[in-house]
Amino acid sequence: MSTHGMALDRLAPYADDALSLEERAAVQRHVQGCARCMLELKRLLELNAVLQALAPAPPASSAAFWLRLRARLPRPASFLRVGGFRPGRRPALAFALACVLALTLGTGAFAAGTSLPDSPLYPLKRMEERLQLDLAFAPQARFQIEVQLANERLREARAMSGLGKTMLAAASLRDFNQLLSRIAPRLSNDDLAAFQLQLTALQQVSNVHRDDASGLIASQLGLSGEPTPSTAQAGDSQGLGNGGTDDGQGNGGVPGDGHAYGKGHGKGPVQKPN
Amino acid sequence: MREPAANPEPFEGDAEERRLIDRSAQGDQDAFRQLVQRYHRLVISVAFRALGDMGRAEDVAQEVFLKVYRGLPGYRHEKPFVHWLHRVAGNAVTDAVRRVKPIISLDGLEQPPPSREADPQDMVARHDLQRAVRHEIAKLPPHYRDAVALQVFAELSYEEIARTLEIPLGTVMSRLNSAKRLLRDRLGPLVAESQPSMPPNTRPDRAVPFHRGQR
Ligand SMILES: [Zn+2]
Repeated sequence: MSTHGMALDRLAPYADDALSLEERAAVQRHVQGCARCMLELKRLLELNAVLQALAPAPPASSAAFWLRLRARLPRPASFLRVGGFRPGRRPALAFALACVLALTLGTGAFAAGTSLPDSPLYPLKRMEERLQLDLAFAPQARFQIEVQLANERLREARAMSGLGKTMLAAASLRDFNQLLSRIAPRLSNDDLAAFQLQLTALQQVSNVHRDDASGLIASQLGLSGEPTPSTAQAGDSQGLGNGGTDDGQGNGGVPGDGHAYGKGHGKGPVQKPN
Repeated sequence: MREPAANPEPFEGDAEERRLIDRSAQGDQDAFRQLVQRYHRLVISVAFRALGDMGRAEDVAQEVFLKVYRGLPGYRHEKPFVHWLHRVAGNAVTDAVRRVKPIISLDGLEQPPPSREADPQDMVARHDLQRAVRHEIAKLPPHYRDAVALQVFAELSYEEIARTLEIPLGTVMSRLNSAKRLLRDRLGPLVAESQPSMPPNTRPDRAVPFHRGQR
């Protein structure tokens, strides 16, 4: 292979400083006298600058990640054991649960479990969550699910704001606030700080909900006065996206709730009296 | 012709990891939780670099770990777990990038992007450039794409890429060279416009641009 061909074939490793000393010296000798290779090297260095500018990931909580993952691990039948639920005791619920399981397991992909507020599957996901909460009688189990759901709402808010769907982002954030006001007293400072970090990353949703949540966390962390659970009631009616596609199963009669999707938590035993 | 494999890197906690893997493969979820804890950050970083969005990155990371969990019973410790994980993650993220519909095409870059309130113009341009870069990487032919994804998204060194893909180091060099020249061509003037021009005799920095160590 010609020197030019050899150099041209090693320009990227040269730019990445991945060559041995001898190879490096050889490429350099050639490039200095070859306008074509010099130009190509310059172009590769420009590309490198762009590639290196890809932002690194912000910190993320592996605990929350695990909670969500665990719920999705293949584990036939164990879902039914959550909180000591016995099929038959609440037949309507059992039926609804069976429907949800059939739907989610039937697709094989748990599509509803990760769907976002702008997805037609989203109401199904909220229904699934509601059932999960309804079935979790033990306070600890319920707490863990609520932590998981709070993370999920934040994730949705991030995704929606990333897509410029600010109404849907605000709706998710509002639901997040409601959950947060319930779980905050039991969260560790690390968890609270992790939520705080995620909130600050939500730059595009610059509205009252984010500030409410931050205030709540700050007060819980003891940085400023008493907790302000009133944030949970920031129930303005916005963000009505495709909530209407819910077939209504199992969520009738929560009038005036004012939450596009908030009805998901509106009738379980965990409802916080407003 | 196969170049001698680089020295296998003895990684600490090997025995412990092996135990966690075997127990996870038998359905021990607590063991799997520890495995996830070890590698959560790694997979999230790869996915975030590839997707540029934490929500999607977490979704893809979930898929990666689900695949790993399902695949563990067939894992035989023939190669380091982390290499396998990198390949699963690399495939998952580039698949995910391809599924994300590009909001703008490369040809249409001069059109104003969808309005983002209060975004300075250059931030928008940077955002679009990164999106374009991710898409062009995902669209590369598979053997180029895998090497580039491992370098750019997973930040692996040439040697680590060679071990992960089980190909000679020289092949990694050739693939990355061709892939990056192709990528540079496809991105066209976008890249040059994005930065102040460099003096023609700039030497690459001694710092290795991508490899920042594993884990
Ligand atoms: Zn030349």
